[in-house]
Amino acid sequence: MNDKVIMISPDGEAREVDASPDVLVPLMIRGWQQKQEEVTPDVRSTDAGNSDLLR
Amino acid sequence: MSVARMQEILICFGKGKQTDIATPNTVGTMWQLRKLNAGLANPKLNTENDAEEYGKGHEFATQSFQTSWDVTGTLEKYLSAEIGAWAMAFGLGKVVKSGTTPNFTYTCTPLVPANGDSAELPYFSFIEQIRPGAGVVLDRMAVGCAVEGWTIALGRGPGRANSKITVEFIGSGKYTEPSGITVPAATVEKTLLSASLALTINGVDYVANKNIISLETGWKNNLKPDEGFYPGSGFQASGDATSGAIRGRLLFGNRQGTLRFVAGFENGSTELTKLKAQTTGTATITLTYDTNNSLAITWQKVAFSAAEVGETDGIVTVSVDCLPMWDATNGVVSAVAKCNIDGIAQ
Repeated sequence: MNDKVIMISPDGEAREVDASPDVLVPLMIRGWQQKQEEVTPDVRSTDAGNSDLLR
Repeated sequence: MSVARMQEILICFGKGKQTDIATPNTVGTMWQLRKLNAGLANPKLNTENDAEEYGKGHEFATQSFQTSWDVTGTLEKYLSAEIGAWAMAFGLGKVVKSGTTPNFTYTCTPLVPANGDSAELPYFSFIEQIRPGAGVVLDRMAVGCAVEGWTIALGRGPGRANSKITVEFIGSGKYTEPSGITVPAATVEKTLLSASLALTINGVDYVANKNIISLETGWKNNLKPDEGFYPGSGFQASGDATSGAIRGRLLFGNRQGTLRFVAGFENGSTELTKLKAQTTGTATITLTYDTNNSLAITWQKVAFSAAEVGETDGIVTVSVDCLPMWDATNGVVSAVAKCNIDGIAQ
């Protein structure tokens, strides 16, 4: 099974496509870019895991 | 004190891209690779003086000033899946990463500003060290480097020497000394030997025909370093106007692809016919270490611009220059690089 990647068009359209050069290269040439992996922010309190608080 | 020898030189550079031209890679996004050439990426200071100013009473300089900094470097290496992926990603500029360990796949194409892409390539930091630490000989990091071009040369014979890559790069001029980086252990590379070559050019399988002698292919970005000194581009030491200007961008110029090869010329060879007819077709160059480590470069449309019959070691050969052309669907060139390294140009 082919890997899939999400590509974003210059207009903002998102499309999941096969990660094969036959599919990717024409899109890349037309200005599509890979959607970047989203980094989940660490929303824990800075005190999380503090053993004094857990006691 | 003992003499420092060039075999001690460690190089380490960004496998991941910098967030911007002025922000260096962090150690987690860098790797150490080995190289073949002894040349260093010396930061070069350009200066000016006040000799031409009137009012001093003479024509001699009384002061000199730091004007700007230049950094250029060259990497010569045996071609491997790792450096191949890095050179394609940073040299062409546009990358889609897919796959997971041990098979990351990087599909790379040139940037197309007409379709909304940047005119700047991804930037990386480049470190050179000799005995870093208390007995340091050299420890510096050039920040904001971009690939000027790469060349892959394949030849006859066994061993790694018949498959090499040369990468040239230019820096923004910004550098840090000491680098502050502890260089990670050298990455073990998977070499892409010329014996693994698969090659089809303009409809001819030169490996199946057993008549390819040598091949050279490359890409040049023709970076415009002088365009980097725009008003406000910044100084070597932030806020210090006496420390010399650095570049705030490295735009690529008119890019050029090259492909030339030498093959045996025999009955039925079509190179001269295709030159006269200006026949066009794809050129696909594939080198493989194993299923998970390979490099495939496709020139999407080439015509022969020159074909000259000569000889190589007493064998009649034809030396062919190809003209890489723009294909309406697939552009000029693409590369698919597989290796077990995550995060290249990411």
